[in-house]
Amino acid sequence: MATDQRRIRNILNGDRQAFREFIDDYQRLVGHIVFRMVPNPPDREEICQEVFIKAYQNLGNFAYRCKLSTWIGRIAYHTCLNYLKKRKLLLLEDLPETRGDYAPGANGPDLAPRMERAPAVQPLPDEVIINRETAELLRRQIAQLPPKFRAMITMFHLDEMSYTEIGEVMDMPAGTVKSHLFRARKLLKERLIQQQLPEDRRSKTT
Amino acid sequence: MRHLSDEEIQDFLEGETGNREAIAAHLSACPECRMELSLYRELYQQMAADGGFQLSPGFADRILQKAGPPPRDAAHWPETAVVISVLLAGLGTLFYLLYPEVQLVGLQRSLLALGEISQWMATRLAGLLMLSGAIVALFGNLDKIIAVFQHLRTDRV
Repeated sequence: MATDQRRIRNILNGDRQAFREFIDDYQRLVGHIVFRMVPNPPDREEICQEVFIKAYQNLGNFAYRCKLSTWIGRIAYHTCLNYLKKRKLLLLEDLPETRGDYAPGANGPDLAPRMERAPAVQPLPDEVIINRETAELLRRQIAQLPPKFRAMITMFHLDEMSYTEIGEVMDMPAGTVKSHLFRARKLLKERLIQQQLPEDRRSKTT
Repeated sequence: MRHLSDEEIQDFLEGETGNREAIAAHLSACPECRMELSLYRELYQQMAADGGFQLSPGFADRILQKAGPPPRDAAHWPETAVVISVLLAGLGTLFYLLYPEVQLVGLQRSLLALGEISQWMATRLAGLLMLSGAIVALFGNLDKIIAVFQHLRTDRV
């Protein structure tokens, strides 16, 4: 916090190098949120710039009531939301139902229907080899999720923000963030099973 | 045997489960749940892998070119207001203690004009009013002190 205070004071005093370091430190976080939320690649970098200019102009209003990264994340998230609203790209707000969807805390569903699609002969080994196809498949599936779910996944898994911090960025309780992320992961897992495992089974049986 | 729920498996991977040993024991005995765990583990690993989100070289330079003069420093005005209030209150009190006979003559005269009270009483009453004002000014800013120094609320853009 003391470092943040010193840095902000330097930027407000016109120290360009301090502002450059600020950009270097937070461009990864901003890039993650913007690249995940904005579907049109040519617009992404411009929006990232807009986020940093907004942060620069409002830096004097930062009152150290949250982490600086959370504050920057808020600017990035809301800038993206405005962009999506202007282009009417916020049509889909929620996830589609998953098989055996249930509220967190309920007992586990019957796994039998899912196991039918999984390799019936032998289970997968515990350590699954990560391959490029899976990564690409997952990227495509994440891109099909509603923007707020894409933002949550990015902040939690790529930027290692807590449920509480994500809630501060997105103006929602930490419990809601956790519940949304739970449903998103479940949906993604089921889609990966649908699309990936038949190939594995083919490779195992040939 | 009841299989682990998706929530239990996700909590296990995040280290948030309360009964880790029981879940580990179930996993060692249940190949179906182990497979579910493997799928989720792969999912978590893939989601934590950077998606190639790269900004072009010179990104920071372009922002520095676009950014105008340093923005106005508004961050510390509440603190400044508090400091000024406290200073004024301190000076007022000091003035009252050092020169009890000459302080706030106007206020004293006004009090005298209000009714049948002695000059001694008017002097003390004027001092009391001044002190009350200083205390109100200080406590009126307490919320700002708390907010600024304890970082209680989320910053708004």
